[in-house]
Amino acid sequence: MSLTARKFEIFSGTGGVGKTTLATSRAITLAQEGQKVLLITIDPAKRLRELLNIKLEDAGKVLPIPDPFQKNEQLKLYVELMDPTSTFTRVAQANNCEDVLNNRILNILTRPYGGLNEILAMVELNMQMQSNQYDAIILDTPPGGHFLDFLDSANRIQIFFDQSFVEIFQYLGKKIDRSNTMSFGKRIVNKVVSSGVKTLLSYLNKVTGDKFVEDFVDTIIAIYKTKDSFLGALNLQKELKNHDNSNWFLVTSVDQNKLKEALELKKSASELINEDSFIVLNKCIQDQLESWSPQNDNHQLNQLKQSLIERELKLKSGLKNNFKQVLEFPEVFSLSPIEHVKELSQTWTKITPREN
Amino acid sequence: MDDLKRFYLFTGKGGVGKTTLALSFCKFLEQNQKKYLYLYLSNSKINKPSESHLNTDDLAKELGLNVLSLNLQECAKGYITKKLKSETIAKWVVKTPFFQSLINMIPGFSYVIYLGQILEMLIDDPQLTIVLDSPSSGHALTMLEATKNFNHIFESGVVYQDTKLMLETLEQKDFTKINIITLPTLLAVHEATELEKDIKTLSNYQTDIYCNNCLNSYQDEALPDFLKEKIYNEQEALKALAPRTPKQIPYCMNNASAQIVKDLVPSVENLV
Repeated sequence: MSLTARKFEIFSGTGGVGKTTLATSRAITLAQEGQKVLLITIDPAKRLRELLNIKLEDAGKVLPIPDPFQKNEQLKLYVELMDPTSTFTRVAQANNCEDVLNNRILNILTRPYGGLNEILAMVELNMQMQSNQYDAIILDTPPGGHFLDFLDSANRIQIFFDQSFVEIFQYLGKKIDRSNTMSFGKRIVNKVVSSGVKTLLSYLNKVTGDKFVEDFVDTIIAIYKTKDSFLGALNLQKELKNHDNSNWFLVTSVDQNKLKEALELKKSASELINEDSFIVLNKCIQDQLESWSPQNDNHQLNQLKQSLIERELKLKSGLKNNFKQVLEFPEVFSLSPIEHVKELSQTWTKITPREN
Repeated sequence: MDDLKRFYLFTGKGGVGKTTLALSFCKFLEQNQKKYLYLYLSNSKINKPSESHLNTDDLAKELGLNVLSLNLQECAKGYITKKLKSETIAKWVVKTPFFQSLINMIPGFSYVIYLGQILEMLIDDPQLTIVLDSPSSGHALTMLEATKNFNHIFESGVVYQDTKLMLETLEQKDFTKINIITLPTLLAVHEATELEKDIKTLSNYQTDIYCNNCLNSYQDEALPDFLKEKIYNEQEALKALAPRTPKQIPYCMNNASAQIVKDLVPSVENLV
């Protein structure tokens, strides 16, 4: 029996190297055990897209994946390449306000690198969870510190809606749903009310011109109309923290020497994720190195062996001192991505559940 | 060294050695009596540097390098002061919760503020080179694209003019060089070439890809099969960079961060 699957399985890491492949192999392993699995991935490399058969133009869609090992098994495996524009479109539809999709500024900000990725990823995850269709949702998060941005996004959403909107709407003092004829932004800019926001907008006006301020106010209103989706993501964070609901995998790899970063990630994320997170150490070659004996007179090779072993041991002991459970995955030498995933998948099936 | 650029961006997936190589590169500039500043940018919240940020700055100081620290709020305040010609107003604007939560909500916003400051420093001092250890790959794009996006957002006015000037400066020939760092595995090399392609679609920036941690230089008949296989895989990965000649940074046998940075100095000359 392999490691118990949870409703959410979240992969994060100090680097992208190996993380997406591990998340994919986990998804396939669980699907092979008969579960209905959705893999959401943020930015997979082309080879992995090829392996999973996702075309770039399919980004944002949930796609069924045929058995990647071609054993003709009927897997209930789905994959979604996260796409901020599609997520925002779904948000608008869910809130019955598709007009916000015409907002110029939001269209720019929801471009793939527009800067709202982390927040929209959280929103997407929440929408998929509420669809209640999957036994497990596996999420491959953005690398390193941006994973913290992702975790923190619920927090940012809350601050945004708490502070900004209280101010803005105190200033507006109006209901927002009557914006049919004249640009609502224009009406607001035309209003003279003495408040901090008005002053702020007037300064903004000085450096950016009228047009921008109008668009800007329209943008704020557009976000406000969709606030239920954003605020819904706040509840998700509670689910993610509960260890009956989620497995967190922090991935690092032997060739990266990133112990400090892994520890830091654990520390910074500790308020946001559950305490039982796993650390995954990928690309281990210690066993193979140990069984190699270079000739005594070959100084360079002996030094190479020692330095490689030392690097791996240092990393392992550092991790073992700081994490309850370290999962080791061997380096896979095959160049074919499918073989890669296959070997990792075998390691997943060998991991035994931890005694509680 | 005649072809030294003004602004170097080190980018690539997390954990590939961006920081190590950026620091080695600074050490190299220092040894060649060049005026430089090292800057680590993390996409942290306003006024709250991340711990990796502090660790990296410590390592840079341990190596005796010139470190530039930028404070987002100060940068924003400086800019607004100039534009509205009043420090009092600027102070007030950056302290409004609305301004702060806007920055937290839209990371691209903070990048534009930082970049504006960096470019201003470079324009003020023609001798200076800034080495930016930038956020990992997708986010380096966010940073470059953010400037473009903000330029599109504003359409007119002072901020529009300023972002336009920023883009023109960045895109000047021989001003910006983007060093994409990767590891010698096929997947990582593919990712690096995809990133390069994405950067090129933004503008014709000068870019190059460097493979870090190459075991290649340890080739020896006496190596065991699995290491030969590893090296073979490395070479296959490097072939994916054809037709260009792959640029390799050797695996460093030392295991202490500061020493690795020093050991790699001779290997970073071609990052110029």
